[in-house]
Amino acid sequence: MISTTKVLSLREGSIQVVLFSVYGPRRPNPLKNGGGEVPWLLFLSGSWRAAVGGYFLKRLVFLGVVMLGVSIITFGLINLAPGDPAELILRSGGVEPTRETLEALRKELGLNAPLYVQYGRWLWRVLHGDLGKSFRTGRPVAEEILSRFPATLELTCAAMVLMVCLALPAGILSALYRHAFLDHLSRLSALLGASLPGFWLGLVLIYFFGVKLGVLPVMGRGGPQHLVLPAVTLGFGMAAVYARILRASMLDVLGQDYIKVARAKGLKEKWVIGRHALKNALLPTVTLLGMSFGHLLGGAVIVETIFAWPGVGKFAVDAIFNRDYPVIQGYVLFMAVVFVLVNLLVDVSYVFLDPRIRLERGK
Amino acid sequence: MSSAPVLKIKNLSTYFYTRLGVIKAVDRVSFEVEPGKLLGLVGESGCGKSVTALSILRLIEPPGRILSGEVWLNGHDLLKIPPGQLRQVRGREIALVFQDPLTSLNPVLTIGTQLAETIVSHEEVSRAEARRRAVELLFRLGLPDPERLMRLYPFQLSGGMRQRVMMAMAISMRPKVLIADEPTTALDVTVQAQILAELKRLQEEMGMAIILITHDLGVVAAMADEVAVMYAGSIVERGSVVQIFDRPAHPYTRALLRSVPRLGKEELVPIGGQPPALLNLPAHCAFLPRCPEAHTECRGKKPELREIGPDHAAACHRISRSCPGEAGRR
Repeated sequence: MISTTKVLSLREGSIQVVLFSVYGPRRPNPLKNGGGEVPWLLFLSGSWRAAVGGYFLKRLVFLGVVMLGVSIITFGLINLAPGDPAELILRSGGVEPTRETLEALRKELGLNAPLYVQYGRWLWRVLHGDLGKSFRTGRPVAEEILSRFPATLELTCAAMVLMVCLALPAGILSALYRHAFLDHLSRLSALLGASLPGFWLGLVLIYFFGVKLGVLPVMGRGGPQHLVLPAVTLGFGMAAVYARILRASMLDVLGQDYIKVARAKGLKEKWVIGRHALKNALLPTVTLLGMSFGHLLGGAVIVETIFAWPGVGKFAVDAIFNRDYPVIQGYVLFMAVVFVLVNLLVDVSYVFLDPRIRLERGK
Repeated sequence: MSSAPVLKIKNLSTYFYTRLGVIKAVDRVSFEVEPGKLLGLVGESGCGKSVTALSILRLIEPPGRILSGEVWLNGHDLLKIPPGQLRQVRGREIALVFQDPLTSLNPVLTIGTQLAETIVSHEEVSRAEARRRAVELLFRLGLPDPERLMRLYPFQLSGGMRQRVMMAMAISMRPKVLIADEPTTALDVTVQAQILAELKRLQEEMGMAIILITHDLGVVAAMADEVAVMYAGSIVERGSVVQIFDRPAHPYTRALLRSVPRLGKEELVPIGGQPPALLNLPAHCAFLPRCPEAHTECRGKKPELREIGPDHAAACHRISRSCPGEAGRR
């Protein structure tokens, strides 16, 4: 069972650490000065717009710190790989390295300089959008990734939409009609969704809808019908699990006093559920939604390979098979940026959803 | 009884069907409240007071079930009317104030929204008009700067303020009956007195009937007109506040009064033993194991609540009709 407070305190903790290092200790909360008198002006002077702005800035600083760590790890990737990078590059080019060619390439790549200097130079290039050239195609990695990203984004978003469209009603209804047919169905599909590997589901879907029934295309990118099978493969498992999480969260909220109060006030049941319960139940689940976006991006690697979807994931898999290090490096870095940005978006959406964060953090 | 009761509860029974067995939380409870009067419903924790309150508005959720009984208001039995009609009674005719103002307000909605939605859902008014009336209500409950308050969230308010907001919400439709379930238990002692005074003032202004659920006998003595004492899911004694405090008849009521500190009283006598578990209650009087006046006849069937004098009823085998309060007195 995931409770709001648990998720909140987790976030609070991580944010607190970063904020502490950036801004020093947080100012004491003026609201907790012992009940009775409440200093109105303190929290009303700033509009919530300003609050969101401040919060956003803090998160941007956090993003910078994370990206620095990711860049170090990514840079280490090529240096941690067995063998000498220069030798690797020559071998991947199909050239048998000699002492002279190795030395020449080392000089050209600046591999004789100390590691931190190499890192500095590399980081400088990366910041200018230069991720190096693919060993295989010889084209700039940044260009290769960016040209393929729309396809991946399309697939991931389709899976996400599918997930929300399935999980939201399934989660709410199975909470409202506990132990009814739909509840059992969603329980079963969550079990299946969590335990069936995506590639298996993908192959089964291809077999039935592509081969047996012949109603849906199974290869490549095209119209909306091309999206269906890959999106279902990618989103189904997560949707089922997500429905269960929302159900648990919903049941937790439905047992709260304020729901009883809302009913005692004589509100319509749809109002009680749609407004009082759902808004609270969504809070812990939004965080998970952000995380699952990362999972979807990762899962896209497999799904894109199965369905020959021309996205970043398939590109990365090809790169791994070809030991195309600059591409792997570029892919990891790029995905890290996307992941962190999505998390930032989730945090900002939290500010919109939960007044407690909006008004306490925004100061 | 001077005037016709506004709310009449007859033989109300609410049981909870748990894995361990049936819990008889409310067992054939009957009482009535007159308009403008305050009924104190007293008893130890877990004796079924809150379940009684929730049963009146049919707010019991599984595994609980209202087994039988009648709740009469305006010539309708609330336990039989369709849900749509019941919704119109909730909040409009009968309002509830819950024990804990901390958890009674929705944390993600503003005070204004939570106040106005009650009004909008019962009356054909615009949102602006509903909000205007909400501001008025907050003002009426002595809350400072109500306009600002409307835009605040519950976590920005103190406990006392939240309970005032809850009360504003409860009186927003001028209900005929207000049920206050331990409205001050979660608050500081100083705030408790303010809230109770507010309750009394509102009652005088609006002429509504109040059912005040509490375990605090001092509060009952100060505020109630009528008192009903509950024990193990049943009412064991009922009467006017004077009768109950001056001539307590039931051994439990007397024990309860002995256990409360009062000026000029030397000694406090705690009630021995434990309140009974509501699971598998005995067929005889539930107070028997703790009763100092128990007798062989008490081992028989459970005593019924019966009149023992004017405006006074008790459920005890040892009380004779002629001399209430003399049962087994040594």
